[in-house]
Amino acid sequence: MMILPEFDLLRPRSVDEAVAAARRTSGAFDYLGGGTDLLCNYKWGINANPTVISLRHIGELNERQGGSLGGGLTLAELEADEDFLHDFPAFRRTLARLASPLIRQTGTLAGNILVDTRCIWLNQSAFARRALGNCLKADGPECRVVKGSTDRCYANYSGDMAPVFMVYGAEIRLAGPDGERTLPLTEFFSLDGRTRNVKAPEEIVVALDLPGDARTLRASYQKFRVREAWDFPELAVAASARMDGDRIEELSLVASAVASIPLWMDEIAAKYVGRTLDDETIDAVAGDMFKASRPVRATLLPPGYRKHMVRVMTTRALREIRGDAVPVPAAAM
Amino acid sequence: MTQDFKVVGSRPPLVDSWKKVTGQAVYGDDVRFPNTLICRLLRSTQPHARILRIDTSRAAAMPGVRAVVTGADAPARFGVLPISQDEEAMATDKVRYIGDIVAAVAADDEAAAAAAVDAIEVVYEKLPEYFTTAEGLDPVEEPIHAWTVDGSNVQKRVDQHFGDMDGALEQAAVKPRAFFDFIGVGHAFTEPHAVTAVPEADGRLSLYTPTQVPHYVHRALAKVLDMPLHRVRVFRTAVGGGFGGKSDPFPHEMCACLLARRTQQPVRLTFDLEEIFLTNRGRHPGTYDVQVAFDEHGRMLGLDAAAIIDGGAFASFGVVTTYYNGVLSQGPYKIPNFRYSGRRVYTNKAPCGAMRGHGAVNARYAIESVIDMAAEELRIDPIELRLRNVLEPYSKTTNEFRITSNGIRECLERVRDETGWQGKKGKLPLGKGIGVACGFFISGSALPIHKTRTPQSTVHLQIDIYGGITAHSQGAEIGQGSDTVIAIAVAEVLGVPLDFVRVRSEDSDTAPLDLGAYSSRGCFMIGNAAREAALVIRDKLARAAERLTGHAAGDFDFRDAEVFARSDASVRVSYFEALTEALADNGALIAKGWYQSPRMGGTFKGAGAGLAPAYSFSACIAEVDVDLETGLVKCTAMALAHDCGRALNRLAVEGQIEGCMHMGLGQALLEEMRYDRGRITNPNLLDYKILGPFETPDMKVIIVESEDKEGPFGGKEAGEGPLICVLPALGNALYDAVGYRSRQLPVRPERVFEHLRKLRRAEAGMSKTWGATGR
Repeated sequence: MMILPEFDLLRPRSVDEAVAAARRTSGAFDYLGGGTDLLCNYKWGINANPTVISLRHIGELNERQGGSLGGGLTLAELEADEDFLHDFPAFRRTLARLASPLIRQTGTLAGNILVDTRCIWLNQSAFARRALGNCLKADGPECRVVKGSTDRCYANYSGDMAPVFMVYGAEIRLAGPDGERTLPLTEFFSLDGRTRNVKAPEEIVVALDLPGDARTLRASYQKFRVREAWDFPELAVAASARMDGDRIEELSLVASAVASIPLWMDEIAAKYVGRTLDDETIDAVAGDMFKASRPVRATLLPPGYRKHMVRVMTTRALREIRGDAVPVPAAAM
Repeated sequence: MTQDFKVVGSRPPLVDSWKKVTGQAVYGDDVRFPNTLICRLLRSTQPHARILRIDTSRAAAMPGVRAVVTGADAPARFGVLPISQDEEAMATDKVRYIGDIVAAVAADDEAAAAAAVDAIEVVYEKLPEYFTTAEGLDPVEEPIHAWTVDGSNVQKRVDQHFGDMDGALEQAAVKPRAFFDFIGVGHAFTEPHAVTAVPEADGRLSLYTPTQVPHYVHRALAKVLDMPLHRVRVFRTAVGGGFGGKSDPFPHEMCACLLARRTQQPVRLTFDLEEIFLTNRGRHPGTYDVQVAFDEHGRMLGLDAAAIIDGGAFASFGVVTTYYNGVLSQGPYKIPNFRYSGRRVYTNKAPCGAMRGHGAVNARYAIESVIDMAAEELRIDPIELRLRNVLEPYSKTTNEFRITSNGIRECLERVRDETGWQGKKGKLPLGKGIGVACGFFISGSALPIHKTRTPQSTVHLQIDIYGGITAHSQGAEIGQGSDTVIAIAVAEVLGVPLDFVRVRSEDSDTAPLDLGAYSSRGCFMIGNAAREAALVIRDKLARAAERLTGHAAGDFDFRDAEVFARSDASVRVSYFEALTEALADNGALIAKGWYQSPRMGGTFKGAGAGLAPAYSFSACIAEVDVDLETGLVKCTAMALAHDCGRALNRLAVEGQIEGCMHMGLGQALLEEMRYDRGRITNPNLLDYKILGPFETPDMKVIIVESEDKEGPFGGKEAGEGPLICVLPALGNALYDAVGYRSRQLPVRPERVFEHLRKLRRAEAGMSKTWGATGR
């Protein structure tokens, strides 16, 4: 049977208490939200720590005011929030297609933003990793997917919520030893499969804040995988646009699950501001996104195919923004 | 007996379902005894290596550790087949795959056992590693086992030739040939292997295990533990799914028993999911090279096939699998000329074995694909072509299988008529397609694994003054409904409600021998044995009714808990009156019924393989929708007609057929055991992808009843056969949709995508008339 390693479980009642508890551990700890990601990795012996600090009993993480969403809200709570879905409709399908109802019942918003990167090499039992050797991300000298890489891990970003928040222009609010700070979500991620983002270990994701004018954006999240439930994305594209008739006034693009972080494609997006959102533009954007995505063999499907699918998913996202009917997966109907 | 059944053909929930849905069923891991130790296993991290040294001293001295055993403690070899006993409780001289068991620990708790496993030191000397069948066909430096063919890794060769295959190919108007490559799949049952071994006070040893084959486990335990059979007891717990994956005696069962005997304490062992994949016994990966010959009228002239299957590290059922890949291709069509060559090759991977549709599934995909290619070349509708070639009822195949009842024609006609085939085939837009295929399977292997004249199934019945009927059988209820078949047969014969019958099928101390749940033998064999036993009781009750009424015993019928005269409805006694009379000066009624297959088959080498007292037949139509931009294939609708002789329990038959559709589509579209240098890379149910709810099509189940003359009430199997036609129906529908013939399973979206890209480049190809049936 698979058993959890032993750890001390702390249950602070406030963010300050949690941060203080974290500082007392000299770094060997994890924050626990829903546990749907962390505890699986613990059972597999992946980077388990002797102290786990649960955030489930901190009321201030569960607050919701307008476009400000507490990091401790469960995905199911967001899914049931009709006001939120009405204001930011791209989340409706994103949430309906995220993992499974059971996992959404437990998993949290911050947990999905921070979900650990995944890799076919890494996400295995300790036995399996022992059989062929460890990798850079867990007790090994080098990356097994991009051979020879000793300084960068190529595990795949697998969250669904972050790309959508990014194209809605969200900010992320963090609380740590030095108080609170807020930064655009697009600046939160940092390209390495181990560190993944700029959050200090003791910092806690307090909330995601959506700007008021995000409500007038048209956005789409297109996720690709072989099963319509359970599976993590093999790749995904998020896009948003502010339209003036059929002219693009603002455009945001994210290619997700093709690298260790969701890729903010601001240079590509900038090229097309002012253009008409016609088939030619959509093809051009999709072609640029295709070229800019360089997935590696960290997931089930071959990287070359996933790269092609970036083009298809970009096309579908922009078509949906334009108002076309696009194939809608059964899970989101 | 009249054909006007009361219980047979109804749709009761399985008799054991109530305790399963209320949580009262005791599965392997639910077994609890006081003072139980927990076992953990040390598994090989090497694919192929000699064991130079095992040092267990540090582990044995750790706190909470009660015993450590290694291969040296029980070196006797075992295996499910007497002819290929190549397994050991734990590896002795060398390890043969990543996951092979090297040592076992019993400790006070799981954490102590796990820590002790980590403390065992093993020194290996690496040996050459063989991961493909191709490397093993010729002599190799270090054969995986000592008894392979001529120093290669070939475990088993089968060569059969009936008629004149070369002549058939010469005469043929069309003779499409194709080469197929199948990736291995696992059973993905819900319940992990979980056993408890208990040393009994009288020195006997009991094993509680969720097994499909208690009797073979019993024999293997006696051999490995070197104990006489009567000192061993096997208790089959509730089984949370088997599908063939729990039909071997397993090394871990031996380990738990060895530790229990050593410590004289109960020992429990529960696998995690990865260990299920490492234990495997799933469907063999392999290649299938097949050519089919038809004359210009669409008459099948012959079938020429060569299979090379990848057995993994041990034999398991592999000798049978090697035969089945050929011999089960002999139906459902008349095939006058037939040639088959089969090879099973050991590799340094998890051992393959029996899985639902054993040996017939991949071969059938290949054959039904080339038949579709022939239909296209001949410009004959694929259903029409199949109808022209089906075997007749009560006929014989070229390899001397005795065909009895056979509803294949009705199966094909009904799926055709109930799916609107004629309005769809060849008329759907690009991306949408429809395909058909047939299936054929044994309804119980006519030959037992061990040569013996002991009946294959025996059922005991016992009735006392309470009126309830206790049925004893070792038939392994694994969720397929064999307990319910017993209850239905007894209730039908004795004319009592189903809840009068309780089935006790768990304990080898009380159950009369049955060979277990494999080869789809349960319904036919246990059903017949139960019916025979009930007829004995019925006779006793009829004679009691005669004593009470003076009316001739032979005229009594049994219905609604009454015994009444057929010729005079006013002559009747209640079931209880008859029973009370029968018990007087006699005591409890007991009776026995048994089943043994009749003698059949040819005299050539291998003639016994695939012989069955009856065969099941099926036909399937799949409809698919291909995403033309991504290459993802979705099965939108499926209709499956299955000839089960007679549905003893319609609900169970429908459930089995739906399960077959789900499992077959899983292998066709998603499931695969992936390996990297001998290590399974997806040993969990996130990365090993069974079909989810959104990938499951609309299902239409059509039950065809051909009323088999020897089947219980006419019944035949329905648990495995329906799966076989699912995969090729899907493959043929995919071809119809986009012109892509998938020569590998599962269908990979990236390959369909590549095909679609080529089509798009050749603009002219965007019609539905791409005809080439490439080879």
